[in-house]
Amino acid sequence: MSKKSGDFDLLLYELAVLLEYEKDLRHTYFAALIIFMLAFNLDKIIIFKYSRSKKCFDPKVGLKKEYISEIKDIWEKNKSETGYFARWLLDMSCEKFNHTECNEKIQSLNLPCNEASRSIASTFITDEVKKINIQDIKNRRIQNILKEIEMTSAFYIPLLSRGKLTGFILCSGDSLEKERFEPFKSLLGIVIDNFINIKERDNIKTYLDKESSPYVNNQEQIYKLGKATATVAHEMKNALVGIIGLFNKLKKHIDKNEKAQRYTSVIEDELNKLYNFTLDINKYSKDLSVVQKTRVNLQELINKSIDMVEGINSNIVFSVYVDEKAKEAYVDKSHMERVFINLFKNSMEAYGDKKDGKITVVIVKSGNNIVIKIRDDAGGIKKDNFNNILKPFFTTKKQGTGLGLSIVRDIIKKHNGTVEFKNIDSKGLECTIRLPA
Amino acid sequence: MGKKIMVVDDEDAIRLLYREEFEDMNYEVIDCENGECALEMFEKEKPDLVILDIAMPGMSGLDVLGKIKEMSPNTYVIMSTAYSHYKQDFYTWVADAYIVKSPDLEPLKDKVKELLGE
Repeated sequence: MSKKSGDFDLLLYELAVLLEYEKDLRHTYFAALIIFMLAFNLDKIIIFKYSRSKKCFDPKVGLKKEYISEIKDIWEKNKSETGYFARWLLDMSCEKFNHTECNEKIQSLNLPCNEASRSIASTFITDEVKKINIQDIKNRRIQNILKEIEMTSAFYIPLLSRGKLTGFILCSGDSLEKERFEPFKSLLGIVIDNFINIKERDNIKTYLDKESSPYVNNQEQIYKLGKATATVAHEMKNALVGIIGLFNKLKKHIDKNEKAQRYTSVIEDELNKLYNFTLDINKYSKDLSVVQKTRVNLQELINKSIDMVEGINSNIVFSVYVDEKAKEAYVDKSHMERVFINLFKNSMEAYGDKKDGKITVVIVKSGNNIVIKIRDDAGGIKKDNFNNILKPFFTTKKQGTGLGLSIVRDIIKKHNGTVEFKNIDSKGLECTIRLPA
Repeated sequence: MGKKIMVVDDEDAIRLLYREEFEDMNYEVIDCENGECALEMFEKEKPDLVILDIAMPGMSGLDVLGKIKEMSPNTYVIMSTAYSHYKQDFYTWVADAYIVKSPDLEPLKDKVKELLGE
């Protein structure tokens, strides 16, 4: 036991060294899980990562004891030299683990998610280390994963960072003690969280780079086009699945007449071409609807949006108040910029030619929400129009497309927020956006 | 008579196609073009398996899924939709399988056979 415990401490040290130098999330999974397996003498292990955009857990990688027997020898031979094993792991290629049977199974079992699945998952996902039995897991898909890799009971180890779950580990082996897993809860959790943050930052940078190219300059146009094309492609694809399927059946009834055969083959080729086309369109339009959230400084975002609309009517004065507690939000920066620009434009256009218009922006934190109020004194909206303002293509303006506010609504919805409008003392309009903080 | 399959899809061509294919495989097939009809028929006909489209006018496939699983958690439900990327958005955790619609019916047929144990 004392020998074991000594190994445990040494491995914990190697893990710390490893995590300090790791540069890649996937490599980290493998290297850290290997140390984990050695430290606890585990048979099997799987790591799940929490996806913030999807709000659910995805299985990432899994390992079995037999895959790491050679690595265990390397550890045994070199454990007297501290840091050696961590460096060895850093240089290790993960290729062979990626293609193990266990991993391919895990990757083929995609776990989709939504409210229902989240509520099922929450029955065993907690902040506490615990032992779980496969029968106790109500979710059939997670059960399937465990069955696939023959795990009948497992230890559940949550991975935490800043008090939030970033993932969890399921592992099995003999003679495991719950307490010994404790140190790993935050160690691995924080590392994963960091990698995700870095990745998100890189993503937003790529997105912004893309956005500044002239090709994607007119966001509203692209948004409209993207949405319309996606709808068309979807309808087309659905119809084509039926048409091609029935056509394949029809072919069996067509006689050997040469002309009939030729027509059949032309129709078939064209149908397939159309079908592949719908797949392509979908790939393209999908990119446009991607929401990439980062921590965004709201004051800066508001300022930038004001700069963008200033040209419309330079007589308008903006006042902006951002409360200290609400200065940051976790949002898609360019989408939210679109929200502000559309709302500002709306108010500015309502002022028409008036000289001394005012737009007030107040951002505060209220409970778990960031509340953004944008208010003008431009007369408000007529009662009859209230129910329509968020509908696409509804407009009271000569030049309007009627999409501005419906885009606002779509974007806020994608952020799991709400947006509402009300008239203030028949003087002006107030828009209130609530976003989860 | 073989086991009973209910096809729920707003696309006429797809309902006809699935009906014929599964009847050829000796299943009994019933179909519905919307969610409301599906729930009504589900109670009356008690199918062994439901193939459910997600994007339908009116009640969505996901609403139907929830209701069906509430009424009868052991009835198999296969979600079928146009694109795989919806996969992440949906509660298909509660469904038994997720199929991307395609003119190639083999994956769907295999799934049905697998679930109905034949």
